[in-house]
Amino acid sequence: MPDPLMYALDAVAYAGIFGMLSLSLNLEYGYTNLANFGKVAFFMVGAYVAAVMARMKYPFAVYALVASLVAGFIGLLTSLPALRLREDFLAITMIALGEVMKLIVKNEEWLAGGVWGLSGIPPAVVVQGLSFRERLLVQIALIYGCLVACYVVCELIAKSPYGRVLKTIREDELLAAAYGKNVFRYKACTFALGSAVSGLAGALFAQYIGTVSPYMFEPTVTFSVWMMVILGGPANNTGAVLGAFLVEGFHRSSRLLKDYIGLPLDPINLQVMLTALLVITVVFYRPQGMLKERITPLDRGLLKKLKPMYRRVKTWVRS
Amino acid sequence: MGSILNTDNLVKRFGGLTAVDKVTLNVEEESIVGLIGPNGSGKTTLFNVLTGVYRPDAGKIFFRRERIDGLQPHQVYIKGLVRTFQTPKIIQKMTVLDNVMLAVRNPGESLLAALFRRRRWMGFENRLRERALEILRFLGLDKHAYTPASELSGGQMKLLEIARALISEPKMMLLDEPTAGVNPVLAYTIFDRVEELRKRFGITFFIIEHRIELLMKYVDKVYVMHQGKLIAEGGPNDVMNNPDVVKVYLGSV
Amino acid sequence: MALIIYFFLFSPYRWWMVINWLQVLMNSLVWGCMYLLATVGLSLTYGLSRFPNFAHAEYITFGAYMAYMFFSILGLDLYLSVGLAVLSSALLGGLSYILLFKPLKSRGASLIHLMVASIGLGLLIRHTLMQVFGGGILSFKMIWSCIFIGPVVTTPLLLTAIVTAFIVAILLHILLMKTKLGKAIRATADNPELAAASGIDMDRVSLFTWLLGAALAGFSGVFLAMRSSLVPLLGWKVLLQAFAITLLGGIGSFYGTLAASFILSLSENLGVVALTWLGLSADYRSAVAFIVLVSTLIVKPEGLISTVKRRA
Repeated sequence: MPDPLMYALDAVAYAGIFGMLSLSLNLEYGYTNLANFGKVAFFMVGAYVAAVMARMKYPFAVYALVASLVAGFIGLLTSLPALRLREDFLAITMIALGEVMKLIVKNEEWLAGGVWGLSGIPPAVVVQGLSFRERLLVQIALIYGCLVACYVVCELIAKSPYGRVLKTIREDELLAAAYGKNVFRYKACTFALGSAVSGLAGALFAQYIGTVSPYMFEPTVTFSVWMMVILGGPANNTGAVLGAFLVEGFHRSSRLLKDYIGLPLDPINLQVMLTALLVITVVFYRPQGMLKERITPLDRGLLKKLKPMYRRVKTWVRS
Repeated sequence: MGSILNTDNLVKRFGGLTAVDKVTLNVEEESIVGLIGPNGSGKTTLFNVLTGVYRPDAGKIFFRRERIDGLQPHQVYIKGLVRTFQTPKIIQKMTVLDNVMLAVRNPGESLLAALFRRRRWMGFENRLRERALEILRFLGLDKHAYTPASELSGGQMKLLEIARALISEPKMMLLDEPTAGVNPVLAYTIFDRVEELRKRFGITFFIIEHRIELLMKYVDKVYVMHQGKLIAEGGPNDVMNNPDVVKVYLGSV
Repeated sequence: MALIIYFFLFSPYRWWMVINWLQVLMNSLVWGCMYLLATVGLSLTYGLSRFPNFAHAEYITFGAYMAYMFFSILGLDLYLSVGLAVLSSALLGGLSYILLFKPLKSRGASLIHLMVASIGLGLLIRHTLMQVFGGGILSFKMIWSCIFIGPVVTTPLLLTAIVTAFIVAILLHILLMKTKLGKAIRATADNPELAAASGIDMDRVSLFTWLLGAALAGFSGVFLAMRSSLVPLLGWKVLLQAFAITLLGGIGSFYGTLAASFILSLSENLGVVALTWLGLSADYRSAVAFIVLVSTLIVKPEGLISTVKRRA
């Protein structure tokens, strides 16, 4: 245990990245009832695109954009065959996609470094003469900037007529179609957006860690993200972010437990076993999650809350 | 007055079962037409075929002299043919108002507009809300506009379905058992409203109904369906005295 | 395209002469049998309980580890160990149905919740096994002598697998077609409401199917592990193939699964030939399953033999 503060800050950075994944899954599952069991595939695509481009010395803004576009495009392309069918077909396709993507990354050494992965990815923001701890803080600022942007996007969507259509599709596809909504197009659009956000999270992850390898992108990552959404509360963006913090905290503390108490169990095994048990319990006893979906009319949503705040800030700046 | 909806030998099969068997019908503009028949006679399937949920195996559908068979449900809706459902499809996790407003095509329903061009749809949304409230007032639901839809009673859900169908200003409405599970007083109110809407806005109605005595007071014409086929059509009195119809109904009791 | 076909046919190397086509067929047969054993249970439970059980992969792994425990650790007789392993897999399948999926269904859990719970269960089983047996590679330490049948090489293990799969297939055919229980299974998969109304004990039928499916999965796990080695991801590695077969064959259809198992294994083995010819890694063989899966969804989403009838 090197430095408790560093450990905590690292956990905060991770929670931020996973918060974005959780928000994107919430958009897909919480609002639209799309079972994306291949979240890790899009996360990985984002991370690898970012890794390759960052090593070629492209600036962060460029490779983050390309990473999310590529992930979004792959999401759109691979979800199309399954989107007209039931939820389980999409789930199976996506879980399979995760495996195939990993296969490609493992085998194409010229592009992705094969089983060894890629290392030496420069961080997005380089400021000379900073201590390790200060650099970590810069990273956290970057990650949380992106997280807040994603949160705002997700809230704007949830509180817009677009979000209303998504909820209608989630509850009853036939109703949505009978009232003039092109269900297929909405699903495809949402899936692409969710995948693009995952790609962005992947890009942040790659530049934060500095290396990527196929073994970072196991299906358990997908499962963790699902746990965040289900635990936090589907169709509640605050809940999704809260879930990310809780799950990350849970992962870290189960690892600490191993270090300090010396259980006879492997920490990874313990962590996965506990996570699995927790998810099964939540699905059993509280499927609506910790924070319930709020039933508010559109006009009483985010903007009503933000506008007075914005005015207050404006008068404060002027004075 | 010309005809607004007509079909030509419409057929829909499921495996070995022919649910809709060579149905040819004709609905006049601004009329109220009933569709009756015993359970399982294919009435709801016919509605599903008309609105594009199922693709017909044979036959043609014309709506305002335009072919609409083979269109997707959302395309049929855009033509102005709107339906309600036998068991009300209400989004429990939305307010009553949002349940009505979701029916209208809205510039804010595109992803880019939802994110970047909020001004453009906010105004539309406000005007739409006024209209939705007006319709809810007409149907006596305005007190519940801001409550979650899950708190409504069965009859109110039926009214909500009609409100939702109304807001898009349809040319024609297909109502699937609008009074099922509704108390008799409210049932009469629902049909009075239908009558009024026809007069005020010239909307055509095609109604599946099990309360035959009630239906007969309002309709101009009735179709009787049995085992996928139309067995009788005509004015309320003609149909009720038709020996085939009497046999079907007595036979099914 | 034309150039590729031209090269394919008139290449001076005559590459197709070098390939032992009978061996390719033999490999397809062996893998088809393995896939059949591994997949039948998944397809039947999917058809009956109406959700894909992602924990099915772990029944395969569990059977293999149990066989290892009885045979290599406790030193029991080989046939006895395999029998016990199959029984314990069946038990695991039955328990997961009784303790997890049945109560979840009766609480009205959504399809997605059932899928999430099954993934959770799978991870729980896998990591419990990893905790008990370690995450490394284990081996049964068996050496198989090679048998040459003409130009084809095989081992007694693989021959046993083929014979077993054929016996299982015949028994399943008799079970599903001739016995009352089998007819109940098919009726329930066809139309649960009607089956329940006609007095079929749904609980018993479902439980039996889950037991049977997990037992066969465990059986296939033993063969898979003996063929090469025993790793915690043994079952997960064939899950992709199992789902491709299930969807291609038609969810819940035994004969569809039978056909699809051999179709997939043949296309995989031909795929490996093509991959070597193209100079790509043979690891991409599981991408063949993905292609089969996606093309099934595009061309014929109800599968070769559809059991779920569309009703009004």
